[in-house]
Amino acid sequence: MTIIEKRQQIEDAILTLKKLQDEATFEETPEIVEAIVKLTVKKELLVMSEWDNFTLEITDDDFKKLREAKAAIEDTTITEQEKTEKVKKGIAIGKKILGVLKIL
Amino acid sequence: MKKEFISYLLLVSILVIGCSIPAKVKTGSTEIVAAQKKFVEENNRFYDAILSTVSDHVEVTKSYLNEKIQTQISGLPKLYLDKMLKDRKKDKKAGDTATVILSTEDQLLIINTTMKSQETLLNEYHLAVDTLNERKKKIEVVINILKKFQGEIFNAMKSLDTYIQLQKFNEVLWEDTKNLIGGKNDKIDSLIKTIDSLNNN
Repeated sequence: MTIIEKRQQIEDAILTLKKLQDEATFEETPEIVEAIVKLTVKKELLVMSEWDNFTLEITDDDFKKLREAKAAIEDTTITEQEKTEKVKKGIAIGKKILGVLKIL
Repeated sequence: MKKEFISYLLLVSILVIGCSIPAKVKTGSTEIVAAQKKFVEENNRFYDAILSTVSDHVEVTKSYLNEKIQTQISGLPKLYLDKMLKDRKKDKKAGDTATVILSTEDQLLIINTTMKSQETLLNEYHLAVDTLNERKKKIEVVINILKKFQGEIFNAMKSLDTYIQLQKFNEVLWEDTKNLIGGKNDKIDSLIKTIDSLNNN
């Protein structure tokens, strides 16, 4: 994956987390806020030599769940329960990202 | 973008210096003196350009992160209050039309969570600023060493019979300086070793 693609991946993750933040519960929100800020900082501070080794360490399937959660928020055709389930999965990925960022 | 610009700047500078130096010039000729002078001048301009670019980059990044994080921090009290109200509304039984009133516990939870989050985000910002300042300082230190070394190179040049070695030296400098943008300690150590090694040879 190129640096541009990695950067784009981080930006996508930030945008998705911002959407998920709106849907998160009070309890879930602090971690989402923290993940957004940590990703924002990471994106700005990574230097060339570090980009080579950097990965969000989330799978394609995780990203798929993130995108599904983001889409579900705006989807008017699905039930409230379906929406909640997808958002929950997205928030879980957000927490996973935060977990990875905390150990970097 | 800035980093890409630095790489570009370094590469162009090396190419300009490399191309402008003849492959073989006899020691002591007027060409060698002119080439040596040009080498020092070009390199010094190149180092000044790095310092200026790094300094701009650090300030722009600090300002960007400050704005982003401050916006996030100032929005936290309302964000958490709204979240709590939303959650409590969801907790209400069907048909209950009474206005949601937050308990003292809820209010305290909002205040504590807000303060904790603000502290976390502020820490994140301060860490980022420290990293940027440290990175800038390291680059300044190395550039100053390199600038100082220019005089020594200039003198050492008299014993070199070709400029190929000089070009190789510049390539090493280019690689080390490029990595230095990352501000890693081991890179500085490696650069100093390279300088020492070249100086002794």
